[in-house]
Amino acid sequence: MEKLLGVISEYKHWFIWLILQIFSLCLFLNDGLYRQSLLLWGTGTVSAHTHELSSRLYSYLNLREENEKLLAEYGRLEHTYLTLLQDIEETKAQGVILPEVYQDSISSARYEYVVTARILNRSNKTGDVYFIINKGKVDGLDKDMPVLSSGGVVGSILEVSEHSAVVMPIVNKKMELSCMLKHKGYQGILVVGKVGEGFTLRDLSSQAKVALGDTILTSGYSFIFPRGLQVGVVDSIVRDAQSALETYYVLPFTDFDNLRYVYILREVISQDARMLNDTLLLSHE
Amino acid sequence: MNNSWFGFVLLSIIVLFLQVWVFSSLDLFQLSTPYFYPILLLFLPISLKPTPSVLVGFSLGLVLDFLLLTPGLHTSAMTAIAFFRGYLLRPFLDVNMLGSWIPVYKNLGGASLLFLFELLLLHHLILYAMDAGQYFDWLYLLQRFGAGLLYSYILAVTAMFFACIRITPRSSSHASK
Repeated sequence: MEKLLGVISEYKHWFIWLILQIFSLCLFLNDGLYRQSLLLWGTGTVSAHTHELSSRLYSYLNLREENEKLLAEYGRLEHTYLTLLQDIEETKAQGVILPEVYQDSISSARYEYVVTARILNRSNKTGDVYFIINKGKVDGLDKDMPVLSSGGVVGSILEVSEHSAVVMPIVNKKMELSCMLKHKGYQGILVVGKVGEGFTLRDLSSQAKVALGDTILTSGYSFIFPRGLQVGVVDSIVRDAQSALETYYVLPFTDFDNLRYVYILREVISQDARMLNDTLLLSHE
Repeated sequence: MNNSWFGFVLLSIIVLFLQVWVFSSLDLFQLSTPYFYPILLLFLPISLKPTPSVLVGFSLGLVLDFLLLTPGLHTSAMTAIAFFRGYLLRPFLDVNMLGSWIPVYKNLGGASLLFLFELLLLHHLILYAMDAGQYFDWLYLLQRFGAGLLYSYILAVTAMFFACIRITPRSSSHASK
């Protein structure tokens, strides 16, 4: 026993090092622990105040750029509105009686509430990017809520605390987004590729005819994103000489490098749909 | 807490502040980010035992992870190099050196530059290996590693000389002239 204590005493620095090294590696490698600690790190009193302060500073520095973006967004929406108004007027002028549109009360009520949040910080672990935002449970946020920017889809809420939340953006390698081609309806999965590769659209039907500049929208086949949200455009198409398979590279509408503000949609009925889904899955087991 | 430890804490605050709010957001050619904070281990006494060295390294890494929102990443790298600091330093020491000396240029001469390079090399190896992830691209990883190491080393050497100038009091012989 004395010999053992002697050995421990002699090599105690090795034991201390091993304990601390294993602890830090666990913090990094255990994904659940990583997310929890990220939330704790990002939303702790000191840390949250520091990040809030620095993000405010950056916001002021980028105010001009943000204003320009907002003006561009305003211009785009106004143009869409005026075009729509003009179309309706022209249709009416041609003597066509527009049918009364009966809105689906369920679909229109599915997403009702928009929260604007500022990005406090971003974390990057082995290419898995996460954003910390300054809104949390007290603002009505919950897990799996869709997060958007003025450009398009950003991601979804992963973890939430009282005043902050962790967002998993679509640039995170773990994120797969169910998408479709605008006006064509072909569906596929948007994934982020290796470093420098950007986004690729996969699992498209072999019949799908994809052209450069095609707009990618969310398909709506998820409990997170509603149908028709803008995601990006087909930027390039690369054909493999041997297999003749094509890879579709997508340029997202959201500028993830300069993202400062995001919007969160609040779901209404997804909890019921989720419970139904879980019941169905259980009954098939 | 004596003066040297107070100076070390003050220097740590400055270096961590610069690392988090200045250098971590610099992305040279979208390839490399300089991580020069391991330089802090140079400002610990030569005779410091491995246990306090590991505790200091672990604490510095934890603070950095806390501020950079990278739980575990810098703590792992910093804990490891703090532990091996003594082993890396040993070949550069001789009997005439005082235990209270810090292994910077004025005490170790050119050997301090080599020691600093060893520390940064080990630190960057661990950091980039952990950050490489499951989808890593060898060529890109090597480019990032090489550019990051070079960038960090240049900054660290500059910081070492700058810190020594700032913290060294004027010698009495110089003052008497």
